Amino acid sequence: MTSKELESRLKKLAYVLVGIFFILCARLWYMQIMNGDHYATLAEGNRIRRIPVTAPRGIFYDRNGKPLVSSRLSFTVSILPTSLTTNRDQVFRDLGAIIGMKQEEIAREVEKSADRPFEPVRLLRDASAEVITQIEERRLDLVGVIVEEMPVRSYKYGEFASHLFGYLGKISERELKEWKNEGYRMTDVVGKTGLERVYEKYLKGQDGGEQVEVDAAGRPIRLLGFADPIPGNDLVLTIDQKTQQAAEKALDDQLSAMAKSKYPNAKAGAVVVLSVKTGQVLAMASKPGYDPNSFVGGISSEELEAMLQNPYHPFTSRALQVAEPPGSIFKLVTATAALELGKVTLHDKFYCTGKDRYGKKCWKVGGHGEENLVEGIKNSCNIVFYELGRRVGIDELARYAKMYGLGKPTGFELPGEKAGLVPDREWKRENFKRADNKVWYEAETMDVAIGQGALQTTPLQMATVVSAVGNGGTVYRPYVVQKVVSPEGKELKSFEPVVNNQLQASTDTFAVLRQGMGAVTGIGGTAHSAFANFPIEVGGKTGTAQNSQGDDHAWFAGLAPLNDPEVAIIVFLEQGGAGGGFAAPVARKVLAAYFGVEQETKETKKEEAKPSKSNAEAQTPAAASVAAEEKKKIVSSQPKQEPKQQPKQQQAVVPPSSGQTAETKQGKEVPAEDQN
Amino acid sequence: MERRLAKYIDWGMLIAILALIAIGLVAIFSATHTNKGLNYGDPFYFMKRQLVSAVIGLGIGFFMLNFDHRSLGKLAWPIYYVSLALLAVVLVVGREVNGAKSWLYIGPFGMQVSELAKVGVIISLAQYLSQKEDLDTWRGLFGALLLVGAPMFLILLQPDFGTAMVFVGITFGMLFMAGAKPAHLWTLAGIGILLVLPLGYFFLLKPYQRMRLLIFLNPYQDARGFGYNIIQSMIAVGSGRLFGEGILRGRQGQLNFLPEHHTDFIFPVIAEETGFIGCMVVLGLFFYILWRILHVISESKELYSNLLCTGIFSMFLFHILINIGMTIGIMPITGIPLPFLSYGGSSLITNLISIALVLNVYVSRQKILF
Repeated sequence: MTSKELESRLKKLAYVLVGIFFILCARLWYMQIMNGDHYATLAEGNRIRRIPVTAPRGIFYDRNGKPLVSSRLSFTVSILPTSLTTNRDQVFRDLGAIIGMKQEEIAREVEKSADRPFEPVRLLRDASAEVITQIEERRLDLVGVIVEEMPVRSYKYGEFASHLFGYLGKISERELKEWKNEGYRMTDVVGKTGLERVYEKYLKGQDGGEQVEVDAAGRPIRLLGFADPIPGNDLVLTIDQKTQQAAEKALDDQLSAMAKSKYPNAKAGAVVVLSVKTGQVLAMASKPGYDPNSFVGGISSEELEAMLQNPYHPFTSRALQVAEPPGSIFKLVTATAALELGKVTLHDKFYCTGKDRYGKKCWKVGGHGEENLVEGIKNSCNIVFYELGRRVGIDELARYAKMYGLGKPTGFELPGEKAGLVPDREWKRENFKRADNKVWYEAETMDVAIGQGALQTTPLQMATVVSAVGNGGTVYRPYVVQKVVSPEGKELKSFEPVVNNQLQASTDTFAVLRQGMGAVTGIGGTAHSAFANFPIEVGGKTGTAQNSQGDDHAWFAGLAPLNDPEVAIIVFLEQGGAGGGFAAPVARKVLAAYFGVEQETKETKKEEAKPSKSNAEAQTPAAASVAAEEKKKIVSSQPKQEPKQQPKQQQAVVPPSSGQTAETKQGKEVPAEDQN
Repeated sequence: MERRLAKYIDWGMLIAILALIAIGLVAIFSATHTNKGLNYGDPFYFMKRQLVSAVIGLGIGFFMLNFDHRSLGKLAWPIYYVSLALLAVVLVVGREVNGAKSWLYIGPFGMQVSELAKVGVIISLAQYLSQKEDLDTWRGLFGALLLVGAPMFLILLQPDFGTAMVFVGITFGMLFMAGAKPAHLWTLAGIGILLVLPLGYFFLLKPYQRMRLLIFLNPYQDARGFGYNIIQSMIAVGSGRLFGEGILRGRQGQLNFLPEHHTDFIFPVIAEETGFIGCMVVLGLFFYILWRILHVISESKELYSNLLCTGIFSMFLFHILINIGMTIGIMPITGIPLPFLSYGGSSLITNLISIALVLNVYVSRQKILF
């Protein structure tokens, strides 16, 4: 080979060298100079992780500022999909063994959020300390598994107003679609029923986030920035914790006691206590119920199935989602109509032999003998009210029932309220096919007059009726939320009493009704034994509604104190037999709790009972308003203090936008509001 | 002698080598000082070990300058057979690292025999080719191919595809320089691509190696698995932009998103921390060294010396192309180190010996003249 040839080959090698270096430089120029920003963004995405920090939901306070529902700190076991490595199956298996899930189940959950790999996939909410310890011990093996601290709902009193409060659950696909623009994410937990649902948008708050730098294994290296979560707004309810507690307990006790009585089918019931002068709900209990806490960690499908299969429907609120014949407590309505229309006076005498000339019977075999209207109420005599019904006629009777608000929902905040039914001629015409069934018969009028037949009311409706009797004819719309208060204590929304209807009836009429109700708890009355020696004078009316499906329903309606009623109560026991026997004692316990009088006073003499009665009487409007003023102070100061007890909340560093948020929220209508 | 050495040695090349080693030491420190799982709690662990290898390599290199490189040529056949023997032994008693049986341990000292074998084969092939007159025929080429084929085959059995490919690069460079017909070389390349590559691919490579080899065409096809390395590497290189994130401040490397970032993926660490400018410095140094080797070849009058330097030139060029190319997504991942920069004693010492040979050729040229 000549040296010239060598020279030429050497040159070619040099070309190759230059060529290769040119390619490398060009590629580096392309990547670093032309696309550097793109790669830098990718690098940021790599190392910076946004960890959402769930905002604590708003707190529910009772009317005295006692927290009923709040949030506590819990641990959630999650997987960060971006941090998973090739041994993910092993991790899933090991983690599954700790948290009690199958490997495939975990894989499926992770797959579901494949399009959001930077968001943690939450597997086990409210994990026990034991589980967390086990996970921490195996930290190095469980790559991609993280434990998040987050606030969860805490229902302080367990099964307590649970139908009112509702429960929480994972956001559904439909909800997510609908609420996406409002900042909801797939991992959110939202109110499913009750107030949790109706006030969802107020209660949720605004999630914060932490910007954390992580290494390749997903371990946080340092905090880069964070946005504090803004806690949800609080609800100040009209509920009185003590009264509610008493209602829950009295109902539970009575229903379990009845299992051994003549009425073993009594498994369900409701108590509603209203403030007579405002329509505020002081207590609302329904049985069977559930403990909303059991939904917090995610309820097991077996548990849920068992609840859904329960023939007594624990999710149904008996206070407003069930309408049944009210029985004799409807006689108050019949009496109102008769008195107002002048069809009866206190001087009118009735004679009950146990049955009337139409063959209709009184509940008392042998009859009540001679009675006037007050005595008729006291005895709950059917013969008297058959006669009154006949005199008034169905048209007027139905008109008065509707004036009391029956036959349509009261407009209470919670969804699913039943309208009930006030039957009349028109109803028969429209709902029956055969010509002879389309006709209204007088016997039907008489049935309605004693609260039977096709008549249907909810306990809540009857509570508004009794309230109206107590306050002289004002039918209030019952409500349970007084105020929505922002975490800073700003009142976002407040609710005043709403009058559904004002009955045009004389005060005398209501005085007579109350006189009758007083007689019911007096000597010889149908609820006398239940209220014997009760320190406060209670007016009552018992009801025993025939039930074609089983045993009679027991009802009791009460007003207390009778001379200037403050509260109205309805006790309803499905298949509970006679109202006087089983429903009235429940009412006594609840009223005792409300007025703060002890049951032990049973044995004390009337003289000794008097002071406590006059105490109760001292709750005159003036005194009451002073007390209310004080309560208000407690309530308004409470929300400010409470969040500090929330462990996960940072020192209320509120971004300037929060004011706007509050305003926009104020402008928004809560779904339930739209229903009227 | 020392004086003459000082006078005739290629100081520019030596300084370039030392500069690369220094850059490598900093990059290795940057890549490993926070990784406590790897460095046994000593941030300087890898840096120190690399420094020791550099000192050993430089020592051997300077020692070799005392002898005429042509004396090694006379030992070509013993060197060749020792290389083969080592490659055979490692298959039996070698330790498996990253799926390839490539490490031979003698007591606590381990080495990657294929690294040393590269130099051995270059020496033997240079000697062999310098004696051949009929390289412009197929017959003449056949012997050379056989000579390279044997060690290559043993290396493929480990299996270490990357190093085997380096042999191909070396052989082509040397054959070309030795006077083989370009048409023959093209034909060989064609046969290699159409026949040998598919065979080796299917019969010698483990499935993961096959996957690794082709994933660079579309790394996002398996972004969490085999594509991960490429994606992370490219992110590191690209995010360096013009000036880099600063030394010790490259996020991809420091947070361990980059795998193997003190060995095969050292270049992205440098690229991320020093940016395009740093990359140009490194490539400039490499280019300068390779350019100087070509200069040495042009100055040298002996065919053996020419071929020896051509082999070393080809080896470096191939390593640089494959390694940097892999980190910027234009070459398959084959796991061969970047000369003077990647952590690894066997590689560094072998490279320093190679440079010593080149310098030796340069120095002996002067000898002849005087």
